[in-house]
Amino acid sequence: MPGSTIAVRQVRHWFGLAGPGDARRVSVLDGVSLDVASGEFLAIVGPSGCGKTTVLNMVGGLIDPQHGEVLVNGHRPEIGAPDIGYLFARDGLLPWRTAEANVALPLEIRKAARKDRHRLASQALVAVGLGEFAHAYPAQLSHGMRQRVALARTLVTGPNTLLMDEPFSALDAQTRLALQEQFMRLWQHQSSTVLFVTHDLAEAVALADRLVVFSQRPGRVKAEFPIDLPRPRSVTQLQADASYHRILQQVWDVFKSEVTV
Amino acid sequence: MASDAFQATATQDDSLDLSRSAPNSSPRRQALWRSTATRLGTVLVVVVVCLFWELTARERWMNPIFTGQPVKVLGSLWELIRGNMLWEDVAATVEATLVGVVAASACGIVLAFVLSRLRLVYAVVDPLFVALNSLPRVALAPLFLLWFGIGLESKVFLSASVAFFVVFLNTVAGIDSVDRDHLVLARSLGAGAWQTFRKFVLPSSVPSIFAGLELAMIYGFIGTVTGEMLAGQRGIGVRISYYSGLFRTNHMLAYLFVLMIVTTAIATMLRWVRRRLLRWQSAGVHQMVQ
Repeated sequence: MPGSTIAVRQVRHWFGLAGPGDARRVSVLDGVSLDVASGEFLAIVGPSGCGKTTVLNMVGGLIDPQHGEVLVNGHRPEIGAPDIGYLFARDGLLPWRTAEANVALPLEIRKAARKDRHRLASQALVAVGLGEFAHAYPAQLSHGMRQRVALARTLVTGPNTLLMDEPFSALDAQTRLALQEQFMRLWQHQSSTVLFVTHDLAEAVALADRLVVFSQRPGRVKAEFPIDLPRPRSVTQLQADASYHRILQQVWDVFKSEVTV
Repeated sequence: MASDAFQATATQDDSLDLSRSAPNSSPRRQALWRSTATRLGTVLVVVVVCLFWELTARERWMNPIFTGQPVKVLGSLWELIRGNMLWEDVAATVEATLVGVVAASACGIVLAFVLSRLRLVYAVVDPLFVALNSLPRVALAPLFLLWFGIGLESKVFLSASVAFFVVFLNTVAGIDSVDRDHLVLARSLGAGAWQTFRKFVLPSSVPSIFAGLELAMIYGFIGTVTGEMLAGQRGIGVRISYYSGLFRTNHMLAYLFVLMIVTTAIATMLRWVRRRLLRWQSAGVHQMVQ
């Protein structure tokens, strides 16, 4: 299944200051336009509160833009569409379900056949290297393992769009590197389109094909960088790669001005 | 007899926990020994207290009309066990409590889930619930007796009136404590209202519901026995009140003892069910479940 195309056109959005219904508004997005090609890995970087998660949620159909439009494969995104896979910073695993039952959850909700559920879920667990932990409960797993289960849960439906909201930010540095590496390996085997929100520049440069820097709130696209690092990439090997550090430096120079304003 | 039964379940539970937390056998055996010793200690305390009690009665340090006498209590118990009355009383008390608690719990759980969807209605009735729940329910006994007479119904309503709020409030607390992350996940997966309830909200409120059920059962017995003591035809409370009025203290104590066994047995059963259902809660990091 080819990756989806994502188009964000002139999106403006605001929230009520004290929640929905409050007349005082906080503008979060101010005329954002983005195009993501099929199979492209786009990272959105920006200071906290710049509306990057809002864009992600619009593509996922969780939020409707107040102005402008968001299209996935030319259509308005539908909430819970089976071809969209979400991965959040917190794993959100259900503690009463085993690892495998957690991975099978999206299949259950989409009413997949019982025998497929088991097969697909255990395959996805094997893919993230947790085959032997199928019957473990989340409380028995480390943070990194839990996030890998969450990754398996995201991938189990074979989505052609991956929406990732700071998925590795809650992990310690070493575990984060391991998960980035593993995710790269898995993703490079498929052709899904990725929208990846992070505040970690190094992560964005290491993983993405293209990087978009958002300004402070209200978010606008401040700068855009193609990341011309060859694929397949290995995140660990990039750490010693000169061109990786050169690009990172360029991005950082732009980003710095935005953060210190 | 009772302490033996108690000891058996307790030791079994402990050894289960051990096999979880201790993968190698030497500390496991040590802990097993320790738990056995602890239970033997419990038995020893009971034996010593009973011996002393027996002595105070035999030596007339205290009047056995007030304190009873362990050996005679056992005699009363034996006599009662061989008769029919005790069993009918136990059945009557257990029946009233179970009917009351089960019906009240079902209503409490269902109403909690319904009202959690109808927040406005809940806001309207909440102060009424608080007021009713603050009312000592035993004070309703005369009213129930007036309405339903001295049969089963009064006791059922009394125990139900106590059990209902406990289960209702615990269920509400359980629903409110559902993890925000889980709700976001449910939404992102496109779960409908029923799926969100069935797969996310309900399982996450089970621990809280169970805490409510265990309390409700204990409170339910309070309701039933109080009702029986005030007026009734059959039941443990009826007998306790009756024998104490006749100063037949040993018979009364035998009934008290039976009541304690019955409530302990039911509480233990509920705890066992909870542990089975909520195994995931006690799953430790170093344990592999299979």
